[in-house]
Amino acid sequence: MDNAISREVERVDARAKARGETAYLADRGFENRLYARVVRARVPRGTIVNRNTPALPPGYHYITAADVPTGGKNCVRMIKDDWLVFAEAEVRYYGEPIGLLVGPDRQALAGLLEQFEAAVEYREQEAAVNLEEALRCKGGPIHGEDNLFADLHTSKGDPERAFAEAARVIEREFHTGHQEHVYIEPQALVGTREDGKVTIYISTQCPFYVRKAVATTLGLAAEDVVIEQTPTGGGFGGKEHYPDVLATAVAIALTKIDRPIELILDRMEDLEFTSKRHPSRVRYRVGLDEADNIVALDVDMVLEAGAYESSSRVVLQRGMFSSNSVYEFPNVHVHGRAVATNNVPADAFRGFGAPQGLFAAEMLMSQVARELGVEDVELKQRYLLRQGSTTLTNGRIHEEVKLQEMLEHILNESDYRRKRREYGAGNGRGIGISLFKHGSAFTGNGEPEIIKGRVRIRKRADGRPELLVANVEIGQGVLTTFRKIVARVLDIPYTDVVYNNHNTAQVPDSGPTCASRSVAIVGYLLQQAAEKLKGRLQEPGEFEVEQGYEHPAHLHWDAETLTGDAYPAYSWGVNCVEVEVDPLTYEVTVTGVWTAYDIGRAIDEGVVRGQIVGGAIQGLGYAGLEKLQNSGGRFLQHTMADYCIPTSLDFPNVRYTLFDNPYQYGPFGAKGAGEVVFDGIAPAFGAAVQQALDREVAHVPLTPEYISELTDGTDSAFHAQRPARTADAEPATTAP
Amino acid sequence: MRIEFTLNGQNARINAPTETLLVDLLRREFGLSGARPGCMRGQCGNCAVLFNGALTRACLLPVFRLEGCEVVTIEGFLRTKEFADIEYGFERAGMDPCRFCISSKVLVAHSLLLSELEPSDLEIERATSGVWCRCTSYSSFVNGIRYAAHARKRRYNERNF
Amino acid sequence: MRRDWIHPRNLQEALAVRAERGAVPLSGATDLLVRHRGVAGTFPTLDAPIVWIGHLEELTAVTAGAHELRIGAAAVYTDIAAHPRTPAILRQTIAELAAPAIRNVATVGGNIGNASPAADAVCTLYALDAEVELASVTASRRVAIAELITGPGRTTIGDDELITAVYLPLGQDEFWFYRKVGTRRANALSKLALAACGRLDGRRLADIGVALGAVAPTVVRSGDLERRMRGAAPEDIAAMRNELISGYLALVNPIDDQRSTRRYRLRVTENLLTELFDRRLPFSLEGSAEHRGSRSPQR
Repeated sequence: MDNAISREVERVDARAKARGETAYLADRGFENRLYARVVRARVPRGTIVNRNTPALPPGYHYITAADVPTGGKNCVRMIKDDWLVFAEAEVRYYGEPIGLLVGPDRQALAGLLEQFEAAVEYREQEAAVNLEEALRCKGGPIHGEDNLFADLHTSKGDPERAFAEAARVIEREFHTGHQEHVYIEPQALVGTREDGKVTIYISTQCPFYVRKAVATTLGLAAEDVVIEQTPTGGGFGGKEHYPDVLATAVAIALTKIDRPIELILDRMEDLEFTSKRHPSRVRYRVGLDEADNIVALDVDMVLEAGAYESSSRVVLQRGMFSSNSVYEFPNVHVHGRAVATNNVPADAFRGFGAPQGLFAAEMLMSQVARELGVEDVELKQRYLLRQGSTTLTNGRIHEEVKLQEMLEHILNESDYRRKRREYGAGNGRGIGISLFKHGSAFTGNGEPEIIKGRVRIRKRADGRPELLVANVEIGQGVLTTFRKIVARVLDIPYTDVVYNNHNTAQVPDSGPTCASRSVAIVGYLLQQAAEKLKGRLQEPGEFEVEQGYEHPAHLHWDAETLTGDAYPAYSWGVNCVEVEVDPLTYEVTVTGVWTAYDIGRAIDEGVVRGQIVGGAIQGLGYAGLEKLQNSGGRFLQHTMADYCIPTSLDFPNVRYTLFDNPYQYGPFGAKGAGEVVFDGIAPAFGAAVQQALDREVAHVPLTPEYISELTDGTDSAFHAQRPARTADAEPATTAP
Repeated sequence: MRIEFTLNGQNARINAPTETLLVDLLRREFGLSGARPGCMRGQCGNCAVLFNGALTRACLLPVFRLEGCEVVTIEGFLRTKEFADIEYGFERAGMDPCRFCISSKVLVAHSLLLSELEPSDLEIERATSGVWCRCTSYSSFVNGIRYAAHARKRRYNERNF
Repeated sequence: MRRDWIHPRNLQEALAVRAERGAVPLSGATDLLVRHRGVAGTFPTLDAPIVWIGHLEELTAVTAGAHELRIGAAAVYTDIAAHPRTPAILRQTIAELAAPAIRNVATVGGNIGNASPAADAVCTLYALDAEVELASVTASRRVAIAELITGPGRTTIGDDELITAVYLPLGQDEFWFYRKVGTRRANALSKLALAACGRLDGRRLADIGVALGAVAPTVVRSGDLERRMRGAAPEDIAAMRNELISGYLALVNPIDDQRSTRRYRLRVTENLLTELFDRRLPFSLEGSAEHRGSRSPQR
């Protein structure tokens, strides 16, 4: 199989978007439209004593949990259905929706919103706003008896015995923070009724998720709800489940109001109240034998889930399964917990638990190496997973692993060994390497048992194939890559393939657009379907071919015990980040980023480059810039001026190399690429800063404030070298 | 209040409350949606317009400032030769992912090339830092502007000879 | 209730509505509108009439006299940076301020009137000994910027006064050192800033202004410490550096907020002062002309 398919083509949606001609939801006219605003709780935890609902002017409506129709349910049906559309008596987080105001004039709505929110009386309760407080059940449990949404274990070998026999044990603890998606198009939808059916136009990654949620809330059959995705200005996981929260609220309003209703979140509202990446605390114990071989690993991972469970159990699983990174240890035990707090619920975000596990695991390895006096790359190389290795869930690595080759490439390209040596320790410069993997598709039995994706291709009367799939364009390029896959099978130009339908009434459920599964799983279904169509394009009339997901026979998973093949295949990566730390201000300048990936085979290098560069920069934001601090249940940073995402000036070019390694069950050999490109940046950055400071780094974001605290104290080599570094950095005023 | 101004080269007369913001006015009165309300607080840079020739954020422009002024939006800019240079440059560079921000980036590119026909990478990065993008195609953006600058110079040269 | 937005024909009219109706002046709107902004499709909610001054020629010009530069209160930063006589330290400050689209409309008068202790240009104007010109229907006065701003958002601007211009003495930046520590590299608000500039007299310091931004309720400047530096040679600075650093640190009182911490601000303020007194100032006094300007490192 040649890799001609990887050649970059012009993206089909490129021109209209550059010309500003693509109509996003906010750009579309809906006749007779009303506007909606979410009325939110103003305490982080408590009970609503009295709503004191103010009077409404004519033409305005106030929708609450009481308006859920008979047969429906006041819940947002996602993976779990504990998240309420509207709070009833109990309030679990500041900003939790308690009602929806609907009316014709946005100015008037703004005034009503203020009145309605201010009128509510609460009996406040002590809130638990971070995972430590939640583990202590501060203020009493929010969920169950112990605040745990999930409490999972997985193990391999005999870790207990291995620790008992270990010559020494090294312990470390790592933390990661909240992260906000900041898709540039805010959450947006319009709900209406068309042909008697509840119809939602929405900026989303997963039209069928929205359909399921709305149907459940209203007590309707899924077929009686129609969801159409509108062009979507970024998602990153933030439009995976969260649109359900807004769509269900508008859907309830539609049972009372027979006009289109538009709900677009304001940026500040979106920043403060939509779901976030799960913060984490990961504690390790590493057992070593007398020759300093790692013989056992014990992992205690806690993810902060926020007020409702939603997808936290699954995020936790991916986090746990990433907590050994790419290393094979004979004895491993992982304990994972997802804990409830009085914060906005955490949910899907590019990486889905893996970045937390990988940051901890990679930092751990570099710190064990420090402690053992070994170069961290040398230590890591001793334990690399290989084809046939046993994963920590006792599954197998089925594919060829090219990590060693990728690592060598990055070491050479970045001149890592020389720089590592020359920069020394604590001299303000550093270079760091991370190795990592990301399982394509849903965890465990998600694809065969839960999603069961299907695709169809319609041979149209005009001879062109039309793709009928549920996966949507959110910037990641499926409009182009799906067309390319099918076009190549059929040997026609990719522009002849029709793919313009994101309406649940017209396509089968091929599953959500997330989890690095669109190309890897759905693309493969399309390839298989196209094979069925091959040679039949000249047949008269219109007909369809269909393909459903078939789990490869060699994969096994036991969802009860979390054992077996957690993922069908992995994408692999090696990242290298080089930094300078300013000794005056502790600001970090990234001076180089080198990346290598095995994503099977790239379907389009242009598309993949977009993912790689975007993932790296977003990862650097996560690693160094993006900070959300909770104070009494609210984030201090709630404007885009204070929550800082990277701009074009913040980070340098990202170099990349792809290692072609076709995967048998991926389209033309492709595996997932959307998340692996984010996963490994933070630990590479962390390792680089660690060298620059000669201090162990334990959490991200690695802000200048944190670095300043790390280097406090007179024994820091980092301070001793201050004058010399300043002279290098700023020749303008310094002596020759 | 009644306001008369020039919009995309044409005389525009409207009657709107004085404090209406340009980004809303363009959508409501003119059906022009290329300037996007990404944050409504002058931060994200996705509502770029040219106001009397200068790059400006339409979410911070109350319409009472418009009287007698000239506004160019992406929709008007599309018709110019300058746009053709930039479109060429951006396509050549393969401007990546979701493109929600791209119409503002086009105007940023134009505004930069107006003041500097051979911008350095740093100048490009500085100029473009005002349009936030999360997909983050900044490096393609820099390349795109380089290609666009080249195209524009070539066009100027052809005109000169 | 909607408030009036007034479009005066000239400065006199603007001053009149200011006096008669307490109208708030508006030009670039980059601060006032952001603070009073609602969601898309709504109007900003302001509780006073607004008088638009951005089009008044009396207020938008930047002009250089023999000894001073006059910057109109409604001159936008892009124009200020472009003027050939604008001090280099101010030009550098502007280069690091917000983004081009903001600099195209934001004005120096707005920054002064808002009196944020974190406003980048205001810190530099303190170091440059800026004077602010205020006018009312009946009178006009000039006042040192430090006397005008009394706290966060608080000034001694009269109910009937408008800021009309800022005056900068020329030649106050024979050497300069500016360092803004922002939340990121571009489009950033300041966590803290240090601006220092002055005149040289051979190996001695003829005059110096040192201003610290975002580390106290107002920009910090010390007449006392500056007087002690006047006339100093490099070795005198070396002898005084401990007193100078502790003197300045005694004047700052930073807070914990969404951008940074008190602890970090204190630490970095000390580092920047150390850099100034141990390195920048001595080098400037010993060094040649090309060693006399310095900015934040930019990638």
